[in-house]
Amino acid sequence: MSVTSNQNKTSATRWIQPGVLARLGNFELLARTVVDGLLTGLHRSPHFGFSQEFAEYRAYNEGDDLRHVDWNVFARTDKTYIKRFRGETNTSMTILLDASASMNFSEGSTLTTRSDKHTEAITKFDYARYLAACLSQLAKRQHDAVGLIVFDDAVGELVPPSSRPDTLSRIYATLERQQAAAGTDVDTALESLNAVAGRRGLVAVVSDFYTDPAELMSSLQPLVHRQQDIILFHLLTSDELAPAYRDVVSLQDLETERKIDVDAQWLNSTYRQRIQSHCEELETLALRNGADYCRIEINEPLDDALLRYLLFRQRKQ
Amino acid sequence: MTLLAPLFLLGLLGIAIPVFVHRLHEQRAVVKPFPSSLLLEETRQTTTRHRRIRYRWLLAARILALAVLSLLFAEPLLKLADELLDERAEVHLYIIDDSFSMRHGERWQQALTAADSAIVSVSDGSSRIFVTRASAFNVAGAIGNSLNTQVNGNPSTDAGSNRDRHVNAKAELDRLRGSAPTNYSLKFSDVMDRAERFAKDVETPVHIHIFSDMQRSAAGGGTNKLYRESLESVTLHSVGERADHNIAIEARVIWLDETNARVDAQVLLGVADHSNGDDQSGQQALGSAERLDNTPVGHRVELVVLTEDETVLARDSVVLQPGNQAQVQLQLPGMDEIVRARQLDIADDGPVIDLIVEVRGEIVLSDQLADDNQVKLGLPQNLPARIGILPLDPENQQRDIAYLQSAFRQMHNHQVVELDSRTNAIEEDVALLFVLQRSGEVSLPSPAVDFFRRGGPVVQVLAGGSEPPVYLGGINTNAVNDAVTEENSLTAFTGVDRVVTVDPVHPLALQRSIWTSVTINRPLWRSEDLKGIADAVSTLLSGESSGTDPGNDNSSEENVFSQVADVLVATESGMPVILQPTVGAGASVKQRNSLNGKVDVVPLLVLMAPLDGISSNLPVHPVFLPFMQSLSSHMLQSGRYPKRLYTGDTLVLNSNTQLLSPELKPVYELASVGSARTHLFDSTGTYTILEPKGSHLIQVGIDPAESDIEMLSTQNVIAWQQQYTTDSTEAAGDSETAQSGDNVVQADSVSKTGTNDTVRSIALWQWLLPLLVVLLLIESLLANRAFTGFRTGSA
Repeated sequence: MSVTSNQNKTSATRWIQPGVLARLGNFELLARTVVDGLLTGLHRSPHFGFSQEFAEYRAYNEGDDLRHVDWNVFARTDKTYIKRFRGETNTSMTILLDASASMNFSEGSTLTTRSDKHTEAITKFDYARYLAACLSQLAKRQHDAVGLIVFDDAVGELVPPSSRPDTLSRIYATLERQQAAAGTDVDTALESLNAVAGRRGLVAVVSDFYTDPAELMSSLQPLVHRQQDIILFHLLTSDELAPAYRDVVSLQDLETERKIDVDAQWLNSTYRQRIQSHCEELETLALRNGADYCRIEINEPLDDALLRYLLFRQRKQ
Repeated sequence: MTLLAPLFLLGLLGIAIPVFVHRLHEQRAVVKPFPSSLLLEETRQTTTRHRRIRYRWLLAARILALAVLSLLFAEPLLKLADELLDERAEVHLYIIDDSFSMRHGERWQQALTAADSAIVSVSDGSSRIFVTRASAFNVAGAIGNSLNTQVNGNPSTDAGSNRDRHVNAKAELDRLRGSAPTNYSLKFSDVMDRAERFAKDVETPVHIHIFSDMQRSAAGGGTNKLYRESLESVTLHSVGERADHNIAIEARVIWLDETNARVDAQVLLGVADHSNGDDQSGQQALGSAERLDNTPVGHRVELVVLTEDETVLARDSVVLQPGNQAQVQLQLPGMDEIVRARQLDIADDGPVIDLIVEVRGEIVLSDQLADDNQVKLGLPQNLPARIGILPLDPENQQRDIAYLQSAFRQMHNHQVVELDSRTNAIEEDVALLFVLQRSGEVSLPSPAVDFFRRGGPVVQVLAGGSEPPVYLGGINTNAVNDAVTEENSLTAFTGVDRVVTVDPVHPLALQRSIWTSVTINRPLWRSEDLKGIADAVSTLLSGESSGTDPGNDNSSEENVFSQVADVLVATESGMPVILQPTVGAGASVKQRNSLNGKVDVVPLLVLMAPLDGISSNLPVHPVFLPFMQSLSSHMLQSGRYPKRLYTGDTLVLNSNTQLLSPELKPVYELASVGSARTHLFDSTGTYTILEPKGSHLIQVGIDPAESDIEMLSTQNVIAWQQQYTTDSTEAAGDSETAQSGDNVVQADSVSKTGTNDTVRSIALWQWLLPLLVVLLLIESLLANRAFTGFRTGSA
């Protein structure tokens, strides 16, 4: 099934720029706007993946559940077939949201210098919250249980995965009151998830991943062994990928407030190689461990990330 | 390469400014937030290197621009290669004007500083010779040669290293700084004549550098043409500024009426800007005369009217006042004879002007016009009236008239009028009357008597038969006392050679009122020179009158003084000084001079009232004794020796004659006093000649030529160059520059074609100026780029 087309994507994403979404102020409204816009642009996809959706027939084999036999077909043809549905495997998705201080970094003046004067500079944390809200909304549409774990250098708030109707509201409320601060410790968050994740499901980690990739993967290993499908949303800004400084600049770490004097030449050469290598290592290790990796620049529309999720979801089915 | 103004290289210090600015700007660290330092690495060394130099190309452009700008102001001259090859054979002759006018202001130091800069700019291979006392052209020192090298010698460039030469040059300049300019005058013609002879003798290219204040007096005598063929170059370094010039007393006297035997020529003092030797008309000269704004206050100027053959027609003096034009009425006796003798042509188209005479001036410097050189005459300020001058011998009293006029000219509410001696009455609006009586019996003429009877004050000025005249005054004693007390100038009555007496008899009409004083400037005679006079006066006043002994002459005329008055004061030689005649009477006395046997007219002081303590309280007045001293000093002046000389003059001293310096120190050793000798006066001051029969005072002033210390006008200097260009038909590619407004006139950019020793200097500003423009353009582009990058980077 075709996922999208470019022209439809363009018309759809025009309304879900992160800067515009930031002005909505309500996570539920924001998530519905994004998800509806996304699903509208997918043609047949509004009902794609729903449970109880017919998929195929197959011959009855011994041991199959008789409840799945299509008796109408048996009456007409006198043969027993089993009717199969796509959405018969509901799952549980847990979103791990990084609320460290490094997520407070924004695009700087990049957005404000754009031609679209209505856009505003949003931080990575804002983008991460939008993304988490949208993922939650999307999961609800598929009747999946959804949960949220907010962490920085420790686990902050935890909403256990649930398919109850009020879970989504709890997630939205949690997202709204979050502020990015302190350091980053993904391992602790994963350990906490490991404790509450009892069965197979989906784990979406939204972070800038300023941590050692190897250690991160070692922390993901227990989840992988428990058949958790993991997707890493790596949020970055263009200023992080390609800093545009012409002179010597003193860069201050948002988490530790440490100042480091670097010159533009080093930033243009060595640093760019380092950040690129860091991203590639993350992706490599993630794929090697069965996880999916999605690098997102926060000036990109949210539907790109969501489509990546849907593809991942489809792939895991 | 030679720099005409190397001092401008100090502008290179300005390079520190952009360097400082660049570094200062760089030190502002820009702090930017960043999500994590996980992937960052401190780059401190790189940062430091960048902080030292930021925008290096921009900084380089700015430094180069400043350097080029400084070099542009330094006016570099590039010598051609062929000249450089022969550079070691060059001789640079530095002529430093040490004439009297160089004492003015900072000119002497400026000249030495300019010379110091000039020797640096000369290549090391050249010889440098310093010459001072330009008129005498004595070699003060030679660089790379013996300090005793004579001008006519051949300076060698072999001795000593270049560095030693430089050190010697500095040492020589330091030695000159310790000295002072002389009292001699400078003539460019003499300087160049000697320099030309020197150049011919040394047989090497000679460059002349003249450091002078470029006075007009030095340019006289037809020396318009400075350049000589034998000289490679002549560079004029003009020190001082036109702003500090003193005054020029040079004007034209125009004989206006050829039919009138008595010619009243109007002399306009001022800076008459006309070239030497030209035929500029008198009207133009008068028209271009400037005001006397720069004239020192109180300068007395002696005017001498000469014909073209140096015949003295008249002389007079005037006290110059600031901001005013001093006009002097000169009577030129004998003009008609001169005119007839020469049969001067009358212009066809007009009846005027064919005779032009020259007026020469002399300035007595103001610092020598001390209080003891002044006579203060008390006059009521609230007497806005006319002051009459009644000359009894107008033909011979013009100088006295002018003298009084100049004295009263500063009193704006007094009008000085000259009265006709044939008048029968004096107008009533004349409040004060001066009666000028040249010689003979002192008596008031009838108009003066009438004036006196009306209550008007009369001042008798007795112009005695000798030089100078004796003045008699008639002012109330108490009033004078008030005046001099108010002015605190009792000492003004000391040390004068003219005398003002007071008439204690007449209360006059000059009642107590607001008094002002009229300062009369006279030539300087110091009261310190009057040794022994006070004792003589005291002796006489105590009743021990020594009487008189006029000599062996029994002529009744020569003893007239003893018949008409009592002798109150006599000199050591018996010369009567003070007589006490009856009221209204006076006489001049002749006496045979014991030195030369001639009969001299002795000036007398005639008191108009007896010193009996009844008619006058003058003897008990504290000012009386100094007054008598001053009077006696004047009377002591003998006719044997001249009263006034100038520096550079010589005087033959007889045997057994000692000369005391102005500091009253013997000039000659006792061993040399016994023989006659000729003394050269090289410094100003009052000298004392001691003879067995008495002492004599000689006032030595500055060289008259140096009195005129106006700077040469730039136009004249340029005219010199132009004249050379016109005369030098062989000159090719002459690029001499006469830079008005600058203090350097470069005349050496003249090449002689057809010779191998071509000297050609090329001014580099034609190339430096476009280079500067290009650099500024580059700087602008780089600055714009850097500024744009700065904005982007700081974002």
